[in-house]
Amino acid sequence: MTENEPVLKLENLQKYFTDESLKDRILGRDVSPVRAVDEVTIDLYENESIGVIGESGCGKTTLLRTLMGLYKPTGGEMYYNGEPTSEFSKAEWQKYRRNVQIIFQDPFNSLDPKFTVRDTLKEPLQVHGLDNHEERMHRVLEEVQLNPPEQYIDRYPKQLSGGEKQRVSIARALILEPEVILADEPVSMLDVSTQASILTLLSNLMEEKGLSMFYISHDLSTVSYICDEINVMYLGRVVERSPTKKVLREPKHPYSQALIDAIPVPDPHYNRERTKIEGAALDPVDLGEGCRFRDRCPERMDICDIKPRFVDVDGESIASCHLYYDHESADPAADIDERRLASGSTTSGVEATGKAGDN
Amino acid sequence: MLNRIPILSRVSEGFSNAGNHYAIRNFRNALGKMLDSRMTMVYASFLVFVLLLGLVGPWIAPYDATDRIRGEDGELLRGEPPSLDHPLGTTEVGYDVFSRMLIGARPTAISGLLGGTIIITIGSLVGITAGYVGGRTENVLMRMTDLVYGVPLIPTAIVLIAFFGVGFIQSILVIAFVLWRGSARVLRSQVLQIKEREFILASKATGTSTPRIIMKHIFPNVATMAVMFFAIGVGYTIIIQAGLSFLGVVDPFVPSWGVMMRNAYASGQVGNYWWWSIPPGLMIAFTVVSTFMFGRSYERISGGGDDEGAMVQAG
Amino acid sequence: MSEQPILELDDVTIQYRTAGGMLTAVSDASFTIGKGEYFGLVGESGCGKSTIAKTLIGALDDNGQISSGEIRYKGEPIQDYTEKQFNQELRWKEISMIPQGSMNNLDPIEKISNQAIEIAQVHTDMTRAEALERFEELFEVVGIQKSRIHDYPHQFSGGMEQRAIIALALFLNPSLIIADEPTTALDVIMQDQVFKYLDEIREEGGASMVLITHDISLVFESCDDIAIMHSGQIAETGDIETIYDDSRHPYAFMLKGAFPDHRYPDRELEIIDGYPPENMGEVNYCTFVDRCPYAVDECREMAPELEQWEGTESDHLVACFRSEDAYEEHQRSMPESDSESTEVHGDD
Repeated sequence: MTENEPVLKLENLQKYFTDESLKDRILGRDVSPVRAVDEVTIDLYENESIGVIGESGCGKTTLLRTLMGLYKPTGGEMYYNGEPTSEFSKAEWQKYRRNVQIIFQDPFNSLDPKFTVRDTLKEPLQVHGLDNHEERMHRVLEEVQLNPPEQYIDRYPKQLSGGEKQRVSIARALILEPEVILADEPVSMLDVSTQASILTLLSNLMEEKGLSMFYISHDLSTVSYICDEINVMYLGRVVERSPTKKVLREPKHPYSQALIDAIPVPDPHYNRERTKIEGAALDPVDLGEGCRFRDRCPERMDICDIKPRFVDVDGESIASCHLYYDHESADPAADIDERRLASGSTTSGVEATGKAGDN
Repeated sequence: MLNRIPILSRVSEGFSNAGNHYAIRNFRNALGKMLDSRMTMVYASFLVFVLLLGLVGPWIAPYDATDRIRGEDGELLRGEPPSLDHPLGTTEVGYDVFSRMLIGARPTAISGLLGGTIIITIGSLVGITAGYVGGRTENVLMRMTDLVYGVPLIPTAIVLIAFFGVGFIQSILVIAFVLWRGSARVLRSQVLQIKEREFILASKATGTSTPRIIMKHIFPNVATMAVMFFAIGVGYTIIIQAGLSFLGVVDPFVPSWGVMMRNAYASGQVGNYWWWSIPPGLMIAFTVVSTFMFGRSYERISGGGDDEGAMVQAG
Repeated sequence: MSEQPILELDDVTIQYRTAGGMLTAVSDASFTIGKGEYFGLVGESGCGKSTIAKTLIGALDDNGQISSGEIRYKGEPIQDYTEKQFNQELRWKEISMIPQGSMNNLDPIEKISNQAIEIAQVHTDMTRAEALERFEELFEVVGIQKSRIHDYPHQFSGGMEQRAIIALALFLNPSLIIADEPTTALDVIMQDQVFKYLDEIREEGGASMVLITHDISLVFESCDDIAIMHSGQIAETGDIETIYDDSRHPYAFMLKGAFPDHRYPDRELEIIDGYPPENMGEVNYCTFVDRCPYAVDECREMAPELEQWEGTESDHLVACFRSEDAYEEHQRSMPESDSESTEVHGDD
């Protein structure tokens, strides 16, 4: 792996479901697909952590499951250390699964109630044929600060508090010494007093172990403690990509603005205005090619029926919004043709990500 | 048992001690909790009692099943009411009812256990496979289950037995091959819920093989349901076999409790000789009720506390 | 307007009978809610806030009981009310409830208008037409087209359904609304939409509200007064500005510090070690003692009572033996707070 090669690279990744139910496989029937993930391009570099933020139904869970290798993408490509995963052999997948681990949101569901901590930690070791089980388990429990390990290793999930369960989940993810951690809202179900300790633990572990993290959440206020860069997702598409602090301070895309303006502020002296956005997000079916946010957008224009390009707004933020580029110079009709001809209509975005990632 | 998948046995350190296997641990825990409840204790003791009778009944019975009792005058004791010598009296043809009760426990226990085992084996194979694999497999298996649901049990049993020949084992097989349907359906829906839970996804994402996930995660989490269906299967087999015996399509020479009732009825004297028909009837009823209640309380107790997220405090 | 408070809790202790004995969910809780006031009850899971919510609408679980204390609604003690009394005298008309925002609160096979009519017919002598007219008005108040009152619940999105539930809660003009985590299941934009309408109701000044939530920022934004609970005890209560500027109970200021504020992404979050205890039987200690860095022996020997904090003129009650010093110690231990200077949220 070269210095500049991302560990994980998503290129126009696409996952459509032709049935409402997420379980059904694609059958090629003539049904309008649910565009759960629609041409998402993200690079994840070593020791970098990237956030994907969005409301329920924005496709972040589908994206995560695609990254876990549970769903096969219906378009685009996912590269792992430069290798396209669509051409992976069984052995390569097994290697991928060893190196890409997940931490789930819900501490009540993410541990098998019939398994002790030992059983839970041992399973990945057995599946990947590693030795020194006891030593590894003790070490990893110490790393997640379940001390002393002896006190925890024979407990069942119901004998652990929410925060302790989440630490066990983290331990399970770390025990194979992975390169990438996929984190699915790992603190959103925890009490506030515990949240901070888990966030601190995660960011320390990342640093110590040089991990990369893909952090998925609906909660923008905790994400700043983990992520360097944020992708804001809406109905299957990434609408903005910016450094975390930048997006909190100066969101560019109208949807990002709405999302950030709606976060309650724990300060009675601060007079925040309530959201002006009406209605709820639709299902990502038959929405046409235009901007997905156009029907709720306060800045709605005629041109929004055309798919917006990714543009570099100010050298830091990249947004997919017609507000940020000059349509005089680029003929919108040509824009559509370009998209039809090549699936690489977001190339400008890809290049720009590379830049942002290097910073 | 469900120890492990052969391929993976090379990494099996720690599980060698079967007593510590989690499945056994869980079963023991649940059993321990159950026996805290007094009513469950009563049902459980009764079932243990029936099983013991099944084991030793024929040996401790004062008379053989085919011994015809004669009085001092050498006459057959026909339809003798209960007395000290014959605590449950004698039958029309001079058999000792008490001995027959003791001897009859064995075929009853065997049919129950065998029937229950077959029911839960087919039911969980079909249900878990359908639920976990999904797609076309699920469709085929569940339509098959629906088909079996359309089968009227007693008439079919009579026809099939006529076809395969009247026999004790045949009757059990016929019952079990119909009754697995309920457990298949319920286990499938349980599996559908469990397989979407995140610990399964996490395990998949680690690269755990499907058979291993089924054995290690899915099965243990539906095991309590399976135990309940096993118990109910035992009960149903016993009671339906008794029904079939009554209709005369079960081998009349295997002296189960059901056959006893049938014989009492067939003698035409069932109204007179109450001691002949009531005791086996009661034993069947108590056994069946006990299996049902035992199954339910096992399910309630061991299913309850484990995954109740709401009970656990976060933090 | 009379000075009569809408709701007063006086040393209320609520316990559950469990296999292990009496579990004390709420111990000696006291607070007062005035007319038209929005009151926030904040705490972590298991702190007893939902138990209080259930008690106030007479829906305490079967194994629960009010062991001592008094709950007065408009001066009338209601802690011994039977189910029937609750139904006839209080529910919907006087006290109504906005439950957790999830999809299960409305009957899915009944039009919302019919559900409203049924409530009206059971609890009032309104005619059908009057009920519909009133309900249409309320739909407009919560920002849904009035024609949609005849929809089925599943035709609404989550946020709209929650607003329809708010319309139902307001339907019979209650004086008190109990909102138990009303927006927890909703996304942040929807949450803001819901609170927009709760704000409007407050401005009209009709109803008082108890907002029960784990999210202290919702209370700071939407309530007048706040009580912070830890494991059954009320740690501190007062108006939101006072609690924000000058909280004195270690749990209160630590909880505040644990809350992320997206305006200050660099601020270090406070960590409160440990987790709340399970309190069996009588609680004669401070329930925060095992997690409190400032605890002394006294805290284990008796439960601190809520006492007026001298430094504030308004009602500001703190239940802590160390309220004088803990705050000072905490201030000293904190790194110089530079967060204020790095405020980043400047675009509105």
